[in-house]
Order: sequence, then structure tokens, then C-alpha cells
Amino acid sequence: MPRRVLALLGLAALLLSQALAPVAYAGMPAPAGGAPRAPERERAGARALLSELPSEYRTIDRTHEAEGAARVRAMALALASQLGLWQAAQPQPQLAAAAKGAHELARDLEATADRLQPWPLPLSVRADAERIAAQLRSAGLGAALSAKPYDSIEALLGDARGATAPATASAYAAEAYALFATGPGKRLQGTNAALAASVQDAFWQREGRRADRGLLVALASGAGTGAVAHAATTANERVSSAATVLGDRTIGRSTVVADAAVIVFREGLEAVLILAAITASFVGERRRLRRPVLFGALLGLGATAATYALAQALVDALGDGGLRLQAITGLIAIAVLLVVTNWFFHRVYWSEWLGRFHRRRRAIERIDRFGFISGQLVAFTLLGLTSVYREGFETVLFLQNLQVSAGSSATALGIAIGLAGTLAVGFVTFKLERKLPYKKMLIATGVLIGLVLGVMVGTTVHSLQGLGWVPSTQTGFTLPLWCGQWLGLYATWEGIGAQLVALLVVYGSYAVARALQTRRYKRVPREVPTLARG
Amino acid sequence: MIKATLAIGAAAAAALALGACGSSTSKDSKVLAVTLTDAGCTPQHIEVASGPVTFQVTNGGTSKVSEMELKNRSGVILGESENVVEGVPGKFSLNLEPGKYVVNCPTGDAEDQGTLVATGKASAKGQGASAALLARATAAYKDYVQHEVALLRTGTAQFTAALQAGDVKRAKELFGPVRAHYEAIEPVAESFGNLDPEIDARVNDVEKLGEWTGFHRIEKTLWEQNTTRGTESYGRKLLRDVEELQRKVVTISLQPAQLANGAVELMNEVSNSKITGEEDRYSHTDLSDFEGNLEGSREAFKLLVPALYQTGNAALAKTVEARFAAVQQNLDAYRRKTPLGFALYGELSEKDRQAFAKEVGALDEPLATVAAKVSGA
Repeated sequence: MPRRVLALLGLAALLLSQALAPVAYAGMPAPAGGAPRAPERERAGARALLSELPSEYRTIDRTHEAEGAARVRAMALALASQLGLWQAAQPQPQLAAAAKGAHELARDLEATADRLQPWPLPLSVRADAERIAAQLRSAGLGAALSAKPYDSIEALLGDARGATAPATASAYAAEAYALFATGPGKRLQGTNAALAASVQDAFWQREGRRADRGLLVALASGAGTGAVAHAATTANERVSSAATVLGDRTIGRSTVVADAAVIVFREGLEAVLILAAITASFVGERRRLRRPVLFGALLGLGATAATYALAQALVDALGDGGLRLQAITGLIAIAVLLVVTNWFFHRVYWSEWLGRFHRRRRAIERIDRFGFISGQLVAFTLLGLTSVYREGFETVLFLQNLQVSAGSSATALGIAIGLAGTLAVGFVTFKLERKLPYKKMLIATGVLIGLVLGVMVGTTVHSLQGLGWVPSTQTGFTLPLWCGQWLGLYATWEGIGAQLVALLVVYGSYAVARALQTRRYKRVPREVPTLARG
Repeated sequence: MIKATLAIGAAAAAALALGACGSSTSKDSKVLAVTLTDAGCTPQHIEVASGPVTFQVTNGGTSKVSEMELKNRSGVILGESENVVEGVPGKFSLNLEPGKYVVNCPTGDAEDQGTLVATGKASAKGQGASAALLARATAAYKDYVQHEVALLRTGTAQFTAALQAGDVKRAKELFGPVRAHYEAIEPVAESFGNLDPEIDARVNDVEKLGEWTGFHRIEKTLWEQNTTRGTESYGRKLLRDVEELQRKVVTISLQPAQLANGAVELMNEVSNSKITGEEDRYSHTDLSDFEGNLEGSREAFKLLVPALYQTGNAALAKTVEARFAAVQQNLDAYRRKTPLGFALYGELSEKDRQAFAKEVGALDEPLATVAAKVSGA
């Protein structure tokens, strides 16, 4: 279909949408002589269009590139449509002037449908956009541009899905695009140009399969509700990926704090219990042997801190790897969690693990003095050090992903909470020499770690999808953004599938381990070993 | 029109030299991918072995940056790719001698902060038969540039004299024919910093009208207001800028790939602003500028033909020659016995413009491969 005909159809759709405007804004009370009202997201969207349109136009004017020209025309039509809707619903002189200006701008830009003729001057287009923006401000419909307009984008994409008139839907979609392009899109180009291009494609892609077409292209070609919903969901997913890459909206802060606290407390608890098991028999005259073990434990803590600093330096040296770094550290963190959960569930009552420490302790007790240094002293110090450092090393590996994804403050807060819990348990165990319900605590933290694993798998798959390393098949239903922030749950089959598999592996293996153990106990009845005897 | 490119180096640009080997193909040419973003060029720091290098430039989604330049340390542009927008990549080839260069994507956040280090040993200067032919080509092209700039200088002096005298008719008659000399060698002027925009910026290219000078600023007043009043100071500045250009072109040092890159850029100029009627928006003398671009491009290519034949690229040379001839034949149909020598842009129908676009596109395709053939030859 010739471009001119398409442009005319666009204008016709625009006029139709304005005829329906009072219906669309029926729920919004008309102002009594005051400034017209419009949702914040629409005002921000119109402002973003007025900023992005002249900027993109200046670039495409240099080459008269057809796709860019179509994009600019669509943005101009969207602006005219939006302002027309406002004006039709709540007439006001300044708004009327702005709407008229937007119509004229859209009409002038129709010239860009033919690349082999003179186009409007970029200077004029910018001047028009600035005048319209000023008129909107006078009409009380101004808005500031945000660097992180994700909520508005999501809401506008929802509006685009729900709008009945194609021109209105296109206006919302173009506003969502402009909000992205004027804010996060600019920063994204520097960190992940491929993802920036993929976000743009989600709105504007013309080539390829029908299902791959951009939202605005789908709307312009009269695609069905399902196809439009699919395109809108894809756009939202890619914008969400961009937010992850830019560190604007990764996993929620509370989730990060909770994850860091759980892992630190869990590993700390294990270390305390191991130390308790080692020192349990150090009573009476042998009580002095506690010191080297606890001293070694402190050294283990120091070594953990040093390892943390080293890991940080290494991650920093890798630069602002953005999504790539998040994905890689995420995979490492998942590996750590699988080791922790697997280790826990398969040795659910610690018998073998603690047995090994007891054997080491007994071997050390047989060591005699050599030279001026007590061999025992050194060996017990090393035992304390290694038992703490093993847990510390795992924790350090795990925490790198949270650090990269969510920054230092949330991670540090989580670490502090986890350490406080660990110190409390250590104080009760070693100082007050009281027993705690260790078994229950281990099971509870084990279950929590399973959940942490689920979230971590979800966010890592999401990062991998952003990089294009893992395919992204939309589920067809949408999930609110908090699901992603809190649970790492995004509406793609790969992400949800990976989370289910991870949970199934961990809890399934636990169930199998329990079943096997129960059968063994039935065959050879014996007393379940206690966790700590200190 | 503002910027096309044939990156020309100053005499002091030690980086430039003819390739030593007699290779007839571009198989040894290294390819460097550069992406344009708001920040500028990505990567910002490049290390590459010296020798033939092809830069492939793509736009990563920025509407702020649309070109990449490689400069020597004196700030002279050696090669560049312009008008790189999404979906429209660019490329250029150069033979890099060892040393440090500046990688710049103008208007990016990190302007002039990129670096390129070419490692390895300096190549011996041209020794083979093709090298001798290429050396002759670059020397001859330098003569051509100086000749055209001399004509431009003379014409500009007459043009500005008409402006000072308030002779609108004479100034209008001189405008197109004088500009054609500039259009023929425009890529050369682009390698000298701001000279090109000062002389030839279109109104499309300027951010603020107050900063606009040169031929097109004068054109606007002459045709829109039909007066020379207010153009006098622009005329004086134009003449000074052209005289500076004349002084600078004497110092140029060229390499064969630059001739080929420049030939391509000149034809891009035709596609992007002459066929669209935006070069001479007020006077509609675009076809005269078209002739200037075509002549300059054809001259640069013609000088490379012997080396192309020598290095086994005769088929390519013949294809390009034939396509140049086709474009020229079409353009000749619009010659008129007027002071301008050509029809005004308004005479072109949509069909005529499409025919030109198709022919120029057909020429661009093989012409764009010439630089890589001669950069390592």
C-alpha cells in the first residue's frame, strides 16, 4: 500500500479516535473552568514525545531513512491523537492551540513518506515541538521527564492493550516508547546496544514473522487483540530487561536484603554448629583446647573478609559488565545454592558431615608437640579456620551476584542482619552454653534457601534472556512487575520452567533423601545423632 | 553540502603511506566494528595490527551521534563514515601505519577521547607495480584538488564582489557554477576541522540559525528576499574560508583508499541531498551540485583504474566505469543553455528522482568495494 495512503489512513483513524474521545475520557470529570486533567503517565508520555520526536527527526533527516521517518510520523500522529483526546474531553484554549500545532506538525511530517523530496527543516520541527510543549505547560498539562519511567511505561502499555480505538492504542504505545527512548534508552546504548536495539524492535520492527513485529507496527496493520497483547507484553518484558541491565529495577531491595541475610545466617549457623561439634568434648581440663579452635574461627572470618575484598576487586576489574556480569555471577550463585541445598538435604541430619569433623578432631588430639610450637594448637587453629572459611567462601561467591544486581547498600544490610543472627547463635552456644533447636533451624533455613534459589534462578534466566543467551517465549499471560522484583517471576516459559525445575530438584531430592533414610532407619533401627553436644 | 569524506592527511600526517605488498585483494584487510551510541564510539579504545583496516560502523540506537572519524594526532581526519543511522551502516578503509590515532564520534559525550593504536612495524613504502600506479594516482588527485580549489577561489571572489556591489542577478548566476568546484572536492575540505560547515552547511545541519554561515546562508537571502543586503559579511567570511582551504590543500598527503572513500562519500552526497532537493533548498540549483559531486567522484575513481587493472580487478573497474557513465548520461539529459548549465530541481518528476536514486544506488554498491582493494595493494 503506498505510504501516502497509509498516512491518510492514519489521519482518518486519528479523527475517528477523537470523535470517540468523550467516551474514552468518560470517567474523568471535566474541569469547571480550571486546568484540564490527564493521568500523569499520559502527560509524561506527551512530554517525552515532544522531546524524542525532534531529536530523532534531526538524525533521520540526514539520510532520509524510511524506517526512521515512519517512526517519526507515528510519533507525531500519536501526539496529535493524545492532545486531541484531551481537548475533546476537556476543551481549553491553550490545549486547543497545542492540539492544532500537533496536527500541523503531523501533517508537515507527512512529507517524509517520500524520501526523494525536501523534508521539513529539523529546526522548524524542534521549534514546533517546543511551542507545543510550552502550550501544554500553560494548559497545566506539563510534565517532567524521568530517568526511570518504568511504572508509566508499564501502565501505558497496559492502556495500549486495553484501548479500543487503534489510534488511541498507538498513542499510548508511542508514548511508552518515547518515555523509554528519552530516559533509560539513552543510557542503555552505552551499556548494551543490542538490548537497546531489541527494545526499539519491540515497538517498531517491521521485518520478520508476524509474531515478531513491533507493537506500533502490529497496531498500524490492524492486528488482532491477541497479537497486540503479545507485542505489548514483549515490549514490557524488554523494557524490564533494560531496567535490570541499567540497575534501575533489578530484584527488589527487600528481597536482596532478605536473600543476603538468609545465606549469611544459614552459612553462619552451619559454621557455629560445626565449631560446637568440635569443641563439645572440650570440657574440664581439655577446655583450653577451645581457644585455638575459636581463634582459628576468627582467622576464618578474616580470610572470608579478605576473599570478599578480592572478589570485589575482581568483579570491579571486569568493569561495568551490566547484564553479562549479573548473568555470570548469577550462575555462580545458583551453583553455590545447589551445593548448599544438595549438601544439606542429602546429609539431612549431619551424621556423616559431623562424623568427619569428629574424626579430624580425634586425629588432632593424638598429635604431640613439635619444637616450641604445640602441634595440637596449630592443628586446632587450622581446623577452626577451615570450618569457618569453607562456609565463608560459599557466602562470598553467592553475595557477588546480589552485589552486582542490587548494589552495596542492600547487600551490606543483609550481611549485617545475617551476621547479627549468627553472632547471637554463637553467643548462646559458646558463651551461655545453651542448646538451641538446631535441627529445626537448619530445616527452616534450608527451606528458605530453596526459595532464594527459586528467585535467583528466575532473575538469572531473565538476565540471560536479556543477553539473548536463552530464548524468551512469552506465556501469553502477564504478571505484575512486583512478581519479578520479589520472586524473580517473569512471564516467559523458560523462566518459570527453570524455577520449577530448580525447586523440584531441591525439594524432590530432599523428599527422596528422606524416604531413603526412613527406609534405612526402619531396616536398622538406631538413635538419630544429635546435632551438637556442647 | 556539509561533510562528505575523503579523508585527506596533512603532510605531517606520518601515518599515511602506500601499502607495500602487491596483494590484489582485500583478503588481508582487518575488519573493525564500531558502534555509535550517545556516549560516542564503542569501543572507545582500539588496538589493531598496522596495515589495511576496514571500519564497519553501525548505529547502536543513538539519535545524537551519526558519524565516526579517524584522525591523526594533528587532528586531520584520515577517514570517516557519516550519516550512520539505524539500519544504515557505513564503512571506510585505510592503510594504517603504526602509531596512535584519535577515534572520534562527533557530538557524542566523549568527543575526541577515543584512541586507536596501530601496532607493528612501519611498512616499506610502495615497491610493486601497483604501488607505483597508486602513487601516481594520489599525486594526480592532489593536482586535481588544487586546480578545483583555485577555480573555487576565483569564482568565490567574483561571487562575493557581486554581493558587495549589490548585484543580485550576477550573484545568483554565479552561485551554482562556483559551488560546483567545491562540490567536486568537498571531502578534502571536511578533513580540515570546521572549514566545511563554515563554507557549506545546509540549514538542515545547523542547531541555531545564528551560527549559520557560508554559501547556503547567502543563498537563503538571495532567493528568499531577492536582495544582497545582509549578505556582505557572510560573503567576506566565505572568501576568507575558501582562501584558507586553498592554503591547506597544498599540504595534503593522501593514500589511495582515501581517494576511493571520497569517491563513495561524494555519491552519498548525491543520494542524501541532491536527489532530495535539500542541498540548494532555496535556489533549486541541486543538479549543478550533482554534476560537481559526480565529476569529483569520477575523477578520483578514474585515477585508481590503472592500479585496479594491474591488481586483477579489471571487472570491478569496468562495472564501476559503466555505472558512472549511466549516471552521467541521465544527468546530461538535464543540461540547459543557461548560466547554471542545468535544469532547476523543480523540473524533476517523482519518476526522474527515482531513476536517479536507482542509478546512484547501483553505482554505490561496487564503488564501495574499491577502497578495500586499493588499501592493501
